[in-house]
Amino acid sequence: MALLATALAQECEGRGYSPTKNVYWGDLHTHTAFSFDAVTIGTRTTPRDAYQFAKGAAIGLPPYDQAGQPLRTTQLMRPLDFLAVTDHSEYFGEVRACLTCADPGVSPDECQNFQYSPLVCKALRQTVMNLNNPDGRNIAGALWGSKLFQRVPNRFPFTCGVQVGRSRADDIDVVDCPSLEASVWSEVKTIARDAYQPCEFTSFVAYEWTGTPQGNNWHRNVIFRNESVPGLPISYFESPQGEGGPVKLWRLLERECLEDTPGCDVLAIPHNSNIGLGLFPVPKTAEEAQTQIRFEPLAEIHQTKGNSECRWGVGTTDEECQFELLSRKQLFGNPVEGPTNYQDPSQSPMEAQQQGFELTAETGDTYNYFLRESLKAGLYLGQGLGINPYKTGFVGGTDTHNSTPGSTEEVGFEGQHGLEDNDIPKRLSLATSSGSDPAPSQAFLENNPGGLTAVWAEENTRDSIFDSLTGKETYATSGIRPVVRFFGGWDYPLDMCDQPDFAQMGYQSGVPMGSDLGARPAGDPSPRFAVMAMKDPDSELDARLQRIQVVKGWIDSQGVLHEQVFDVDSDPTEGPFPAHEDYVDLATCEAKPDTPGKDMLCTVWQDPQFDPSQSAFYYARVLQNPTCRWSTYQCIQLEQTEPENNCRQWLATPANADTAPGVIVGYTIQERAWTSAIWYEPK
Amino acid sequence: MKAWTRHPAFHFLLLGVILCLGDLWMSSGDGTEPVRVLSVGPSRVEQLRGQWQAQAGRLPSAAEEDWLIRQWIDDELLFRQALELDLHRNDPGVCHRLILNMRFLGLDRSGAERQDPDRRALCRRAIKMGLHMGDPVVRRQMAGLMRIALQRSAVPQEISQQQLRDYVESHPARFREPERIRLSHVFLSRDRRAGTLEDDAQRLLRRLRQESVEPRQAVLLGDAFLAGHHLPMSWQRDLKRALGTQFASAVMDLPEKRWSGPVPSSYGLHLVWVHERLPGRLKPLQEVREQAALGVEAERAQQRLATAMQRLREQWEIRREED
Repeated sequence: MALLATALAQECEGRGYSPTKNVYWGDLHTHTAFSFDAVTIGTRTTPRDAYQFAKGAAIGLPPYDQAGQPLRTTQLMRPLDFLAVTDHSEYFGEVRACLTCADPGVSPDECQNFQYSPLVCKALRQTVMNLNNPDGRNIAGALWGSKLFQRVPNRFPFTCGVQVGRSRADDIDVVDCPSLEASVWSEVKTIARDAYQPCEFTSFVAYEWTGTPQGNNWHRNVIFRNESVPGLPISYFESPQGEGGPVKLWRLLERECLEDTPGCDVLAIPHNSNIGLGLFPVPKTAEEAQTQIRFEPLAEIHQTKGNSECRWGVGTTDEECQFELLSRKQLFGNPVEGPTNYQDPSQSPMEAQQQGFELTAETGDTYNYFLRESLKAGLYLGQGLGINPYKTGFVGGTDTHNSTPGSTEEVGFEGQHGLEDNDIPKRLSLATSSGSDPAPSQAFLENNPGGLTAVWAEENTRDSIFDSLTGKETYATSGIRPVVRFFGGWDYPLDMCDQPDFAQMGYQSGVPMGSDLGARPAGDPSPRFAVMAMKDPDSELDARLQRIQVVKGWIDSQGVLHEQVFDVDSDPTEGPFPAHEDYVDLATCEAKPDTPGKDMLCTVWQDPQFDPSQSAFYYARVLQNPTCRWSTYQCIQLEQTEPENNCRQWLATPANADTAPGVIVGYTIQERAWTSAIWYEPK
Repeated sequence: MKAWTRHPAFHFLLLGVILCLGDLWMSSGDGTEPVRVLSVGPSRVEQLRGQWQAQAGRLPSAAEEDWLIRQWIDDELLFRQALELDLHRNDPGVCHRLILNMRFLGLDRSGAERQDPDRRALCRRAIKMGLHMGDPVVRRQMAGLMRIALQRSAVPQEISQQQLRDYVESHPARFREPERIRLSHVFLSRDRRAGTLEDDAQRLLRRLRQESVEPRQAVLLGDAFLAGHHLPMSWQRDLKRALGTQFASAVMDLPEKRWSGPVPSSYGLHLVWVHERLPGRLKPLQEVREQAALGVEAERAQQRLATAMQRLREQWEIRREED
């Protein structure tokens, strides 16, 4: 029913349109040389190159030789269907000003002689010119980035705007940054327009809002439905934490996009709650909650800087919550100090509040730190406010700073951070482990290639995909491309998996991922969830699926939050499952023969402990059979040229072992998918 | 910067002047004007080498050096042309740069500027002093202005339907839509038929062919395929997404309206019926008009610039001076 009602657009009849929707693969998180922190690590490619790469073309990666030719290239084995390039908007104008002296015809070399040379510009140019110098430090990246850590940052006064002289007559307007920013923004739009091929490939005009107050990664990717967008992006400078941060961003988006720009539509996707310590503001009123969920229906659950679903010991004892974790809890530094630092998982927010704990943005690290926790906190806040502000669906992205969207394969991973991780020793963080100094961090070793967003949409157009994003009919993966359907309803037949029209039945008798369960019919049934997963048809090493799980979170009448993870279909049909080493030969990373696993899993699962008086959410998690992590492949590669290399031992060394138990980069991983949840609310 | 220099009308006017002058100059040649001389001396070559070395970390090869010199000559000719057309007098970018230079040199502090901080006056004074002649940024900027002027046409030129069509046809890689097919498939699951998969598939294929089983009926004889048995009209990339590269590569050339296979995918084997096939095509003009028009305009601009550069070079004699 819902399906047929929303099937408005049919631009692509005969060219991909399907009333039961297609899965489209994309990346909603990509940086290019337009970003200050990408250009300062040697990235030279632009959004134009990123779109070409997404469509299947090869791309150059730094370092570059003296003639300007890249020494590395990479290419997607499978192109993407959609892409949003999300460069940091904060320094659009400054980067352009400093690297070209406000004139596109001038080379950085000539800028060196630019007599009026603000220090920060000089730092940027020197950083970019010294990139190939091994002793070179990314002064500019650090200097410029540090502004974004402030609660109320101001732009570098001597880069943009007026340099104040001894009298007004001495004032010199240095560089007209707003007009440069507008010209970069206009380029972003033009490039996206050029890349858009309705029915074949969708591009989105987008940028990243880079608020990092006190080092908390509260970044958001702002994605527009089409090219009707405000004249300038609203950056952290216009909506700093001291003035409300994300809340002000939404307010300005509401005014400048929804109200003042005809045809404009927008959403913001927060990411890296794992290093955000309270990614979501805590609304105080129903109105605030409504605004929040209007602008932020989605959150990014997986990317190169780790996974944000859940962390073992933080509100959960789910053993699958040890996947691609970082050993720090802020963008830089602040190592995790063990589970005892966090709320007792069995304690409810209500109990915590009685003990003097206040759920606020500042203390939000307990309930905002991982998305499963925030989904649970949303049930709690929803009871008080009448509107659940954290009813967020899931997407995935790379957060590449190499203009390489969708480059999520473990085999042949080239890093996502320019010259910072451009070779194997750097990626394995071996460079910092040598010598007498203990490794300060395993930052790059802990990184992973990143995730993807799957969208169920009728056709590959901006409207259709954007509608599915706002409707949360999305799932995220750790980089693989399995096809996953997840429907919730009250009367799905238990043999639905044997029916030839699974999807049609799913839509007709219930709702897809990202929705609210319809009204409970007479007869007091428990909800049923129809879930199917087909393995990635081109998976590395032909890896099969191990199991589908349903993760349920709910709040009881005492206000205590609970969660439970159900294995609903698997091979073998019951655990315990074989150890990872039983699937993979760790000496070669080859799959072992005759391991369990299925090409397709499918079931109709009924909640055995449903209580109609309790708010709940359900999402599906699909686990692939264990395979080697990227770092193991690269260690094997290194051992072939340097037999004495001890990378293997290094991979088994826990990061910050004494302070972060449980965080370890294993030899293997279980790639996975997370569907957006389906919610139930008592009427 | 003064408000008037930012006013769009000013830019419009300026552009008009440039276009007119450019056009006058373009049309003035009758092959009889005196040939002028541009010398490239050893110190210039040394300077170019030095710049290259500073950026690339090594000296240029002979070919690279030759390229550098030719680039420099072109820029120099453009700069001199811009100078003749007085492009430096009213360009806000040039002015901005010159004022910065004046300030750097402490030359903005004379009595006149103290009382009258008119940037135009300051800019005029800088030009009078010849500051624009020696500044690499100004020279590059003026060469750039000249390039833009040469790329534009004084009179807007219509693009005809035929020209658009020609452009689309001469860029097939950009405007081609690949072939599409619509197919049904009977699926035999590797999960369910571990030992007998290949035999089952061969047996079923024989039966489908012998009994001419219709696709709607046939799919019921195989296993359930959760992504569907009857696929909509698809490009190869759609098939890749749903069934993987191996399958998608194998089916595009299968014959229509008969049972083919077994075609392997990573899920098992498939017996395939191709209902229809739409050949690849150049997209019709109405779908790509805007892109094609931009393309034609870009090609014309390149052509205008190339022609004008050629003319410009012919008016000069280039002398390579040895030591």
